[in-house]
Amino acid sequence: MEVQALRLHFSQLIKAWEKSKHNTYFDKGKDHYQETLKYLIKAISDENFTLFNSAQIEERRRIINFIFKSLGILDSSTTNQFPFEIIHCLQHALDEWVDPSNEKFVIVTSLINSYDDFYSFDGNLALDDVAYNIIQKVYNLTFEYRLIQINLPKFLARDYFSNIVLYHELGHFIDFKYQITAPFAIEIQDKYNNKKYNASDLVEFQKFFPYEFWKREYLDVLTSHLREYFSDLFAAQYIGKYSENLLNYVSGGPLAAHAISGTHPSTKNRGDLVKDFLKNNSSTFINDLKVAINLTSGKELKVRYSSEIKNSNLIKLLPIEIKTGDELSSVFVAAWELYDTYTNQIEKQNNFKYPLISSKVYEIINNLVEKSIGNYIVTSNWEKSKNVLS
Amino acid sequence: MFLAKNQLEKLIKQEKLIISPLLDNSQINEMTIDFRLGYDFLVSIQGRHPYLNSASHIPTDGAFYHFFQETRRNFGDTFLFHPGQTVLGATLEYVKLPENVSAILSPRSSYNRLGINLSTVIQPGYCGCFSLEITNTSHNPIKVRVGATMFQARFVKTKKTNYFSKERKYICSVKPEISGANKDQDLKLLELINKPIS
Repeated sequence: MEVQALRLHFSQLIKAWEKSKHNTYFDKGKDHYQETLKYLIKAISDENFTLFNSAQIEERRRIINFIFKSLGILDSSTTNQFPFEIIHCLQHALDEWVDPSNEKFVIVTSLINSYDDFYSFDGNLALDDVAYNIIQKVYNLTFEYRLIQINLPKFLARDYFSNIVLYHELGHFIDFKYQITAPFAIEIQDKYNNKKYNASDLVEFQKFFPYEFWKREYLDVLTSHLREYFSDLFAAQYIGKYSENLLNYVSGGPLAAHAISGTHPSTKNRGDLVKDFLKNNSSTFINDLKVAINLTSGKELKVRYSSEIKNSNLIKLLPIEIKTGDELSSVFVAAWELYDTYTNQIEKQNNFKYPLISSKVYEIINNLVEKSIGNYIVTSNWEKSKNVLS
Repeated sequence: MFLAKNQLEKLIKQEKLIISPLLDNSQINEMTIDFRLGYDFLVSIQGRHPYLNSASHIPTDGAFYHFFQETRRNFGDTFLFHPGQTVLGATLEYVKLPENVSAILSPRSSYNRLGINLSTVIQPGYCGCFSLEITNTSHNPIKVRVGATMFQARFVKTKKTNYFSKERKYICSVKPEISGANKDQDLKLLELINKPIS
């Protein structure tokens, strides 16, 4: 019976694979991953299932589930639907935090048919070693690339205002990868319990963690809240205050600003922390977090967007000229600055004889952001290929 | 009078004519500029609706987008034009025309000879990627390279106009957009003439 169930499971996989194996992708990492899946599926199909004991069947079940999960996200990361502009920006940020010559991660999008779930991160295919270890042990196959799965609503795949939240989701990956916040939570409790904080520190910690955060029974809550705070600051490095603005709205606006849950701090506190970081206000919490980040990842938490990138081109109805990858996320900041304070600048500059409706203003800015990033990608690929030929 | 190479170069230098990105200056010819095929497409498909109804301002037989499928390609990838199929695309280049220059877009002769057809006139002051309404009029599928210089535009000096003096359907388009034929205001009037209110 067990063997027959495994046969059924594998048959279902083969049916899914028949379609997915023809997928084409925007980048070599996914092609490489799919090629490894091909060898893996072939290796399983060559096996005689009737010879397996229960432990071996369980290993195959896990591997097949792993392949199903991989196919599920690869299917919505094909060139046909892939929002490569935003992913290119995220990949650039990722490469700043994880050296691509040491570890190869590819960001993949899972387009979901829901607006309510908004954006989320799934680190299983990137960080969960169990399946990769079984595959290595049983089939001697290594995945050179691992997939970072970011879920986004299908309706917003090419929306650059909401997509900035993806920087926050990438922050969760960085946190899990380097194990930044979990030990930091213990450090905070230890420091409190060993009376290492001064009076003003305590006021600050009590503001951002308004419960008995020093008690062991609150460790999980403290860790969850730190995860959100870290990801907020991670995003703020690239897009300033704008992901917080959006999160505030999505989570219920001013009426819900002080609400706190076991997993999320209040949006008011999250916004305040981002402000402190961007304004470089004195903060023991941020300073200690910076130290924890540096100790675990060797990286620096700092503002990374460029204030040199202005929105004047957008007002003139032109794409922004991006010269280096470091300027990519600055385009989002420039676009949000214009949208957030919009007072008919486009109509005035371009001698419009009629007012633009707000949906048109959104469409214009969104299109220009897409084209700014697209032009950067095309131009840099062009130059690279030219250098190869010459 | 069509603008000559030196006039086009001058307009570009003065930032009156914006072409972004202009990957290679050799795209500027004696009296035309070559444009590249962009990477976004809307491909006509046969759906469940019987026909494209451009005769009504409220189409009840299915909106135009039901007849087109969105697809993307990598820059440098290939794309296949099937015989008789309408494909909407956009130039790779984002263009802002001076207020006194219009453009006439056509396939380059090399692609015309294969069966690629399109004809587009662009108003002075337009900004956005040029819209490509392409049909393969040959009997064979044609494979092309995304980013290839398939098109050329001639530029004509006109009287100075204001592009935004009236409401525009397409502003700053960077990818192909479904036809807005149903939004033409004349349609309501024509429908009324056909079925007058008694």
